[in-house]
Amino acid sequence: MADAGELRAATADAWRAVERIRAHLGDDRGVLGVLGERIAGLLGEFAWEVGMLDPADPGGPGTRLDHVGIVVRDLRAAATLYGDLLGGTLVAGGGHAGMGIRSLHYSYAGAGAKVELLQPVRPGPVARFLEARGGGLHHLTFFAADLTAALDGLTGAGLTVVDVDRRAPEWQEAYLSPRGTQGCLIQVVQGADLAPAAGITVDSVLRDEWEWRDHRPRRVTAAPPNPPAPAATEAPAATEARR
Amino acid sequence: MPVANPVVEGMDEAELLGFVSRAAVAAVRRAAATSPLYRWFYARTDLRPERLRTLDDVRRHVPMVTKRDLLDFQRTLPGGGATPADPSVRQLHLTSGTSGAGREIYPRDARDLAGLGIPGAYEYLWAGLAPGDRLMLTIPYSQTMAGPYFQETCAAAGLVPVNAFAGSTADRLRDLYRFACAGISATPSYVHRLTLEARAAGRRPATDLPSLKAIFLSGEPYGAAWAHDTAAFWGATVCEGWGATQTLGVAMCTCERGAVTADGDGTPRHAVLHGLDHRCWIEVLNPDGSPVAPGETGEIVVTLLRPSAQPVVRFRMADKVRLLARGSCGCGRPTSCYAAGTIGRVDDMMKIRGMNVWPDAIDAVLLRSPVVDYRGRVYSDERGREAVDVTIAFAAGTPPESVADLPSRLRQAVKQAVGISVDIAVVEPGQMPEEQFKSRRWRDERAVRAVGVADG
Repeated sequence: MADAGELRAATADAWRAVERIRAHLGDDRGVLGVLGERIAGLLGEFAWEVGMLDPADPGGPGTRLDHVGIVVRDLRAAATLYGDLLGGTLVAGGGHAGMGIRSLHYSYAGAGAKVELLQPVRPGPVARFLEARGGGLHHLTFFAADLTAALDGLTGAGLTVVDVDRRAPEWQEAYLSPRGTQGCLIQVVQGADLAPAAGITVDSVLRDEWEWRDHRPRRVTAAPPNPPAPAATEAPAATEARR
Repeated sequence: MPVANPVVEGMDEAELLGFVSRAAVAAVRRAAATSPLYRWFYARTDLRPERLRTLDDVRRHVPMVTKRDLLDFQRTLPGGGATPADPSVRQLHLTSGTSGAGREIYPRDARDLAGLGIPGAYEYLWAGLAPGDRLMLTIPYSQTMAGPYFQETCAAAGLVPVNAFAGSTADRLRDLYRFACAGISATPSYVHRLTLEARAAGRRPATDLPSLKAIFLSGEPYGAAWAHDTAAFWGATVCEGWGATQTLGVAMCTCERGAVTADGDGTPRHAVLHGLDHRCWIEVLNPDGSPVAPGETGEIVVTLLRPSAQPVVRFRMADKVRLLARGSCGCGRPTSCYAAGTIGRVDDMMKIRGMNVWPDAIDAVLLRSPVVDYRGRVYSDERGREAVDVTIAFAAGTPPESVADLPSRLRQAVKQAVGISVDIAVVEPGQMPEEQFKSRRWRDERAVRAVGVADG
């Protein structure tokens, strides 16, 4: 019998692999898509039976790094770097009117955390960050199974929690003041994992066909007709997702 | 000791309770955030899920939900909940609807179906069955959850299902031997019928069916003496599982020690059910909502801990059970404990041939002019089949010719409304014994109720 901690860590690895599979499948409604769904269901059950509330979280009730936010001036160029050259899989993205940005989220093989690319499209705090610093690391987002318990622990350690927002049940968040984190903006979130957005592409995000609503990317305009199948041997969904 | 899951069974009580506490708090928050039912229900309360931290917080602050609440919510949905627009739904499970109040509809998604059989696997594996063993299933497959559920329990435990819901009792008896079954899953009443059939056929399964390890009972209470005799005749451990559509499978079940044991003087005694606490949090409560003490009986209230297309949070089951202290079984597992054999209804519902039957529903059919009163009896016939007879009385002065065909019409009406066949006889009003309470109109004389020491 394997050690429970090792089983949980291996389960979290497997969960990330399944998420990648499902991201590549996109909105496949055929046998592969349903198989991916069933594998995820079984893996979720396996995780529960080895004592994990969240299959993506081997640490149990603690926090886990969900994504790193990076501010960029040219989103397409950044997509080439983080997607095509570094092998990321596009899993989410869209415009956010309130923040005045457009974003792309990439996941990576073997990594639990994602990269979020943020491009300002209107004046706002992200635009000011870009002007002041020229881009780069903007924030770290940690997920907590229990935000209240996580914030209790952080404030108990002397950190200052600011901007607690619990208005949206599906996305409750707070920030740690950078004064206490040696300059890094840290966001702590209690929310459901973001499922890969079916059919999302860099081009469609840049055409503003996707928007963040209720903390989920939603397609706001109809997808264009399917382009001719690529001649490449790579799976079409994967090629499309990386563009 | 058979082990179904070394991680869960290897936890100590504090670890298991910690897991249940975190999972229960998360279940409430998830339901409040994402479930249309609970958003609707909690909107009428001042519940603040973000303030919950412990099981005690959940007990004190989260309101309980009833079948009536769920049905009220369903009526607000398109098609009464039967036409869900959610494309992630993969199955629809309905409750039986024999209460007359309506049928609850439970949408199931891929996560639900992946976990559907897992709790039942604990019951089988703890009883000593192993992957590859054959298990005879006698539960019908329909739009209720039972059929899909029992299939999945076999898949989760690696067992080979021998589907026997079609065919006669003689066919099933033959197949038990033919397939060398290691287990059979049935209601106590059906096991009794099978026992009589085996005896009549000259079978001696304790010696001539050595493959049989366990008999898995569910669906109705049974006496310790009957269970003891049944175990001896079949040469198998009599086991029990309790669950419901709301709990997405078994929520408590016996271990290798079975559902009945014997005192030093040989008197049979009901044994212990283990809560599958890591999947379903079970509360046993007094009518005022306070928890009962170990040794006391109260209503079962369940919270499904796994994410589900239809979360279940503090759902009042209207079933009652006797709570036992943790560790009562003596097997060493860290779970909560309950008395086997005695789970019954808080209300006056009866289980007849696997159907939930409420006297109110029969009252509604029978107590119409010119019928002024009736008495009912559930009993085991000479072949062990559950049978129901009903005696009715007409108002004084009712012309006999006007009611000549009424018994047969009422028989059809009961079958249509409640789903069971009854034999109906007529007596004079004065011959009907007086009863103060309507539930006393019914007597249960089934053989499986034979008692020993009827406690845990």
